[in-house]
Amino acid sequence: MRWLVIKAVNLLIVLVAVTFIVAAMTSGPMAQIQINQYKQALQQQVKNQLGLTPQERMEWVNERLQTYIESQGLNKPWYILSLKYTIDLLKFTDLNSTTLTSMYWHQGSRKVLYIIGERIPFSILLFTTSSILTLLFALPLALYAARSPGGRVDNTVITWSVFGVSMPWWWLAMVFIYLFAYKWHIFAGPGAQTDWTNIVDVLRRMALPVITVTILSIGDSAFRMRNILLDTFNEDFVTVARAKGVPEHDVLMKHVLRAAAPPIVTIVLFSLVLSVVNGAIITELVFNWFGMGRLYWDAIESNDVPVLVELTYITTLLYLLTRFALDILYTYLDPRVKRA
Amino acid sequence: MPNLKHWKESFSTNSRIIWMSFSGKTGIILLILFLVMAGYVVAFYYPTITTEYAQGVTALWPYKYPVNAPPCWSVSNKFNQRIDIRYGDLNKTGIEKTLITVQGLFGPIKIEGYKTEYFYKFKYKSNAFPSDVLVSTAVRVGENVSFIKLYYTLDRPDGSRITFYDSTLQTGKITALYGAIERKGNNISVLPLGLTYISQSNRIYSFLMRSLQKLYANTSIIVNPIIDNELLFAKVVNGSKGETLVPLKGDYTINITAVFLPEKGVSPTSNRGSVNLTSFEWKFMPNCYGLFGTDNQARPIGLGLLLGVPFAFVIGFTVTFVSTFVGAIYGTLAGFWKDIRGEALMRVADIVNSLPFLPILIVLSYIFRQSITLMVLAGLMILLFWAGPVIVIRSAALQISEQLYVEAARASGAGASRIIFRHIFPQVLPYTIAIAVLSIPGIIVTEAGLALLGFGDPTAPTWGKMLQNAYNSQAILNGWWWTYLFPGLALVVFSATFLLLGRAIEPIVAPKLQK
Amino acid sequence: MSLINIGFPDSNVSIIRVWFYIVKLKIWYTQVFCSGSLAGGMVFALPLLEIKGLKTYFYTLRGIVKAVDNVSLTLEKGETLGIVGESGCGKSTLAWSIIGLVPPPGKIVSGSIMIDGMDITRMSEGEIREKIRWKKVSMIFQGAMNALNPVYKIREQVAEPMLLAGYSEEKAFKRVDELLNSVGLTPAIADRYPHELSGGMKQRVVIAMALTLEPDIVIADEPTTALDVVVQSQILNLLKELQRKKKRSIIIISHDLGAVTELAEKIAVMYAGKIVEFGTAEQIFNNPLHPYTQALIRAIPRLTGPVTKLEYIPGAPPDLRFPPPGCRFAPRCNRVMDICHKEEPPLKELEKGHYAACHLYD
Repeated sequence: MRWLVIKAVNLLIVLVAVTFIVAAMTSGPMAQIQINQYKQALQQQVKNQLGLTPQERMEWVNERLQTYIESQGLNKPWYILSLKYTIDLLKFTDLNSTTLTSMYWHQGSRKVLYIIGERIPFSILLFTTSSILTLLFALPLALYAARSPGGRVDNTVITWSVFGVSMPWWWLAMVFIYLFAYKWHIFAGPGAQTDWTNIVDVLRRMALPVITVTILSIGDSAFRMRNILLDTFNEDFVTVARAKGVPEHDVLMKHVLRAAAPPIVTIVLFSLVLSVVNGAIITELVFNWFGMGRLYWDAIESNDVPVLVELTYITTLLYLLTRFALDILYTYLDPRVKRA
Repeated sequence: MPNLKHWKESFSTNSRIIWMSFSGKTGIILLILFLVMAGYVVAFYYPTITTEYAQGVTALWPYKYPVNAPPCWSVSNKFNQRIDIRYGDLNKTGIEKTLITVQGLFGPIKIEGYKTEYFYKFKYKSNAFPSDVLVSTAVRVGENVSFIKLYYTLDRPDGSRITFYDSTLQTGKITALYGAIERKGNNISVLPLGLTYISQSNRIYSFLMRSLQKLYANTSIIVNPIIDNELLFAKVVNGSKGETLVPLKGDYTINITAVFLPEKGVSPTSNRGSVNLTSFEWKFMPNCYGLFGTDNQARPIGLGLLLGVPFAFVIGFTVTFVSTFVGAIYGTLAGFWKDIRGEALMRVADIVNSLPFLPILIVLSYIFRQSITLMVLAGLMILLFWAGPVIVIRSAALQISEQLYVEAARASGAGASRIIFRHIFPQVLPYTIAIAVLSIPGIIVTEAGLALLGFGDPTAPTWGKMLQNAYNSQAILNGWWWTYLFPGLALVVFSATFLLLGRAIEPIVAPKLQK
Repeated sequence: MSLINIGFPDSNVSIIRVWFYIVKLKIWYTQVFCSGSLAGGMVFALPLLEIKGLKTYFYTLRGIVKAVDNVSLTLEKGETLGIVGESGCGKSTLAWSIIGLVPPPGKIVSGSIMIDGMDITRMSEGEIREKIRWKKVSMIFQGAMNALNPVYKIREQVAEPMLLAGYSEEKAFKRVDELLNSVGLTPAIADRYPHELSGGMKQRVVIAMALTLEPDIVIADEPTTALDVVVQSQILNLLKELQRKKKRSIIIISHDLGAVTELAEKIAVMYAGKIVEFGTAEQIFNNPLHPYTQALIRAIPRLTGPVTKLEYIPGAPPDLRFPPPGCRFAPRCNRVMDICHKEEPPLKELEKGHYAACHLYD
């Protein structure tokens, strides 16, 4: 249990660190936005206060605004503000989004967590589908490649991975959109009308992104798996198994694959998670996919700092939780790690 | 301790091994190629042209190159004629006497006035349309001219006439009938401007529109509010696909005629009493450009690819070498101190390593977006990437520090810094180089991604910025595939170079793989 | 090589003795009167393992490494052969060649390896697996730490060859317990994972694993290297016991001449891919002929006798890609002559059953 606690504490430390960094960086604009939001609300209210001169109205608003600033501590120095926002984020205290909301829906504000919440499922849907497909294709490829290093399959995997790593995903996305959506009209492109509540529509729209992401990640995943498998092939116990007269097929399946499973599962899954966090943002933007990555862009475009901050917090949280889950998975796969 | 001879020897054998593998050979050749390109750019293009390229919008680019021209190898029907009519090419008649009909109080009156005429005849031979026709025309009317009427027409081979202008002008000043006006101090010059996206508020718009509508009145061709220059040189052909436009070949004549009347006592040849054409140009732009085409601001893509090389080197090398160097020293220290200090260092590195890079990078870039330069970007990336190599370096340093000669040095009383920098660090260095080379592709791709989101150095023409420009100009939807295909390919080849090199170096520095 | 020895099932010792002498007489007779030509009746007396002119080369990027170069050896049933040499002299490659598992860039270039009348250099991979591995030849690997698959329990790994050979699971597991007992481990260990055992325990497990199918030959490749001294002697004792009780042929490969002489009846000294001296343990230890062997023996620290300075062999073994012409030991030899740099000395019988390849005895 000890290692679990250590890992969990580590996770918390990273989470707090990231949150604090982000909060410290954005505390100024965040406070300004909070003040503006309250001011607007007050200006709405003051319209109902009949019988006031414009001068009195302004005083009325300023008085209340001042009280609000004092009570919320928005005039405090940046480090106190940062601490306040860090705690707010960690407690999931809800922030309000104005600019993004007015860009998409209507005047007024919406809860940031609600905005993020409606996008998360689409990101998860897109990237889990492509991760599963990647694993399904990459593992047999890696096995073939590792069996005869330097062979044709091996060279294909190596070249593929070179391109997969050195290519911006979103660039291939652009090329694919042009070819498959606009030129040959095979798949729905980013401009297609999509009802995001209709599953058939969403799946049709998903085909092209999934294909792109899968094609790109197969190369790197297969290459990583191949390296792990090759290392395992060179282990003494594999030679022992061969010397014991174990048929080559069983050597591969029983000894190599089983022994290589823990690093394969963790390293490959982890690299997929990493690529989701890092690649999703721009890939989703190019595909105009209604997910969290796209939301980053929307937040930047509309200068909606609360959304940007909360989104970074949620992304970090999801990413760390996935890592944590993978750590636990590893210990169950590898008997060498104590499970106590 | 390895001496110089040993180093030399190992260098020569190692470089031979790198050269022997296919990936090493390809990597080295590509690297040399890129270095030559970078040197060329730094020597001849930096900083004026690079900055001009990065900032884009200026009338100079569309004057030199066509807008949105695809690469020539992809175009089957090329506009292969060079037509560039300058002021000096025009034929000019002298000032002749002519009768002017003026609307008087009691009906038209004929008055004796003057006429001056400029004309040019050219042959249109090509089977394709130009991508655009750049036109500049400016006329100066003297202060003492009491009457002026200007006719600006294009006579087509089929006998029809397109009118650009048929009206009076203000006296005592230069009027730009068409073109981009550029003021440099007191000098005003009129630069040629494309006819394609002619604005509706332009002087010639209504005349042009009227004559084009008349020209295509009996056909199914609809003259759009956005006038396409094709319409000037086209004829309608009834084909299988209905009515289409093909170039109308033959002799065209541009004619500018001014009819004017100077005030009494002012000579029609004097500056104050005459009408003069001050600037004139008709330039036909080709419908394709070079091997790589041009973008929506008429910047050649090929030039952009070349200009991007040194910037890719700068960002890639700065980030990787600084961050791996920092990481290497950090990792060596973490491996050398086997007590709480080493543990603490590792904890910090672990935290940095488990940050989700891109989201945080985006937030950071967003905060610094007003003052973003290549170096700010590099700094931000270093902040996040330095911890990457720490774990590998630390385990290498641990292994080395347990070796006998390090123990011996420790026992003989060598100080910590001496042990680290004389014994451990030189051994760790090869790993560091391999890691650095292998991480360059990631950096380049990350930079491009940030550029796409709008966080790019405004003065650096990086490939990422070219992609951003393509994306923002909706190049995918418009079918301008060359504007994003080539910069992306350049990125891929550039990062693949380092990936290949890194993979060739890897087996040398990691003895485990050598087996 | 000259002395042909035949082992029999160890059930009936007295009969064996009788047979033994009859056979020995017969051999002596054949050798004396038939001048080496094998009579038809001698087929049954073929050696268990006969290696002739074996060349195993590694084709690496940096050049061809001649790890085993023209090696000939014979092993009789029940005999223990020690192969001694510095690390990198081709001992392990020789062992791998015998079991048909030379790792990838390596290849058996020429020569033959006869095991029980079958030439494994002419057998397909499948045939070797079916007939030779673990059934005829098993191996105790160098570096016991990595010889066991970390993700399987001991029982599964020890029983694996038996299950492949068609034993029922029950029978196989029972035998695992027996085997573990016989190497001095409690059967309870069978349900543990390798990482839960100490180095010595793992080495015992590896030995038990080597015995599962009662092979004729057990190759022990550096069986004691990675262990501490106390465990080393325990393992050596275990091997001795194995040799005595089970009458198995053992090839023990080690860089440690002392450890080998304790076990082996015969010793082959290898240097740079070649056998430089061969003889019985006594001959090698008491009357080393080759300067290399002499140097090796001088390098063994002695507990008894007068305190002498411990010697070492100057220089390093040659690069096996470019072995020196003539005698390969010549650059390091303290009794080097001109001819040593020019001609390669052949392996000659200098005493009865004692061979050496050195120009000193021309």
